[in-house]
Amino acid sequence: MKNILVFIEHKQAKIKSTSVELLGQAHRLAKELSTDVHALVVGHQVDEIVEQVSAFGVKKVFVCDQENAATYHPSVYADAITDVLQNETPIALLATAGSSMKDVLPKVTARLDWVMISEGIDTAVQDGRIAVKRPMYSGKCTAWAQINTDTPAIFTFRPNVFEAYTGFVAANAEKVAISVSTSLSEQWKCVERIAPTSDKPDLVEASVIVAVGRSIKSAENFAMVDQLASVLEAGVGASRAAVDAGYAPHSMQIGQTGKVVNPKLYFAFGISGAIQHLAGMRTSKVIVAVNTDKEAPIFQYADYGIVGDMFEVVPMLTESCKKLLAE
Amino acid sequence: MIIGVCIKSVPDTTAKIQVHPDASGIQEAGVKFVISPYDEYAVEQALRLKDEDANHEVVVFSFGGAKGPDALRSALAMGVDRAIFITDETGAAADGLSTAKVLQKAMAKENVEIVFTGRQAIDDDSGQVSQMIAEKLGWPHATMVSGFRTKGDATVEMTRDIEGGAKEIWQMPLQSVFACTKGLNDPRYPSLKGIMAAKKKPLATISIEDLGLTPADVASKITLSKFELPSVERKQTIFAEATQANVDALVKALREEAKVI
Repeated sequence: MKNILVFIEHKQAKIKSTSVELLGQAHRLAKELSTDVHALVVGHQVDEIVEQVSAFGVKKVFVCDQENAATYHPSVYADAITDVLQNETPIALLATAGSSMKDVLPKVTARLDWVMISEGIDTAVQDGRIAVKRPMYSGKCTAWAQINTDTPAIFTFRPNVFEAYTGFVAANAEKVAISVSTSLSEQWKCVERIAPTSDKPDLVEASVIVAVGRSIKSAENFAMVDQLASVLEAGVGASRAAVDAGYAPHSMQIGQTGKVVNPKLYFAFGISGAIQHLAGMRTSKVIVAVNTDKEAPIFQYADYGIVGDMFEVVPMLTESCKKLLAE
Repeated sequence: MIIGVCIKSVPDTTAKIQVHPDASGIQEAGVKFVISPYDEYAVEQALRLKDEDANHEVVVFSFGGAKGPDALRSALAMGVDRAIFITDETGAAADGLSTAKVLQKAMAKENVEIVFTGRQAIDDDSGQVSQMIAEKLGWPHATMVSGFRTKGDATVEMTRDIEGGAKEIWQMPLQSVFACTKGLNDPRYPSLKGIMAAKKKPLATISIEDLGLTPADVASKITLSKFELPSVERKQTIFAEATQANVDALVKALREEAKVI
């Protein structure tokens, strides 16, 4: 029987919450397709991860545990994933659309001559096949992508798009160890890792985001927003105008040529709501806008808003949130 | 060295997207098309290699789309030497792997020795084709390339952006496929002279059959349907003044009404 396979990502000996989210959706699909959920773990010294997987109703877990898989390298990961996919031939592989899987899965798809749909935000089963809803034109619209052959599929999904799954039934996952003999060339290797300059949550994964526009006026003024972000454990983003003005790095840019985000709560401070920015954040669950211009388009997309200067509102908001969260 | 660049013609970032009444796609009439912004970084990086060594030839490729030739013409105006447009009669471009197969064949035919692409086209935002081309060529690939320095004749040191503002520096062979992102360079604007010169530069139009492929080889395995605009109902509770009382009321609503903090 063909199964649904989930690629498990992990950090500091724990399964990432984004992978748990996918395991939940995999179970929903497996129920509809009357099949089981299997998992794939790649890394080094990952026994704890393999044990944790059983709690999420996984019947079989494939493990590639070897030294050269300790950190991401496209060659090793592609070989390990291809090895499992070739032998297992699942209905589909589900993975999180993060930097590693976005990098490697197209390579695997090409090697296997399968089919890949990226950055999904919802699933459905149609005619016994999985269809994926995905943003198009950077979120200006959505469409359903349906696989029209029996070729196995590889899907990546954005983080935070599926409802939490509460039906996990612990299973004793059968462990299948695999190893790959990828020899890494001296020619293709990571020579340095540079830690992020900010300790804030990653924007794509953050459940709360505070974003500012060009009216922040300087990089130094981000300190004010950082305080609110610390209170709310939020990621900090910026509009393209603020990035182009040099107030923030491109890694903080939200919008069509930056990050597309989908948090529970999005604060837009001094952001007018240009179409390119809206494309990057309009699927946020709740949007709060603060702008001095009451005609700013952002207010039309906001659940809550305050017409006013962010330099007045942000400190008040920080205090008010601090008080509330201390209660 | 022959430098290959892959580009795609996409609706301008400022374009308002309207869905076709039958939800089969978007309405393209009246929409301004441009080179996908990330592809401009790819064109620029290729041109910078040529600026260093005029013996290099930069060839730009595009597969499908009614406005594909216009995008290629814009790349020629930036300084690219020649362009190849491959027509898509069957909608194969909806599938990333089909697109990669076509572009790989076209570039192999031209004996391309290094490839630059954008990190993703901003219409379907799939971010697949670059890595797939590399796999088909049997070359290494790099995505999210925000820095690129050649070291000697055969090696590149490149910077790759990963999550949360972290970066990695990788050493790669020059013969690789690089998917470029913002921060890599500032793409040049076509000069008037460049625009005039572009009119005389070669722009070949070929079919997939010219590359030894059949429609069956590249049939899209993906069918796109049910296009729709996002239609989230927003509450639109807007406070007219920035007072502490209003801020407190907002925070209370976020806790009790929206339940998000």
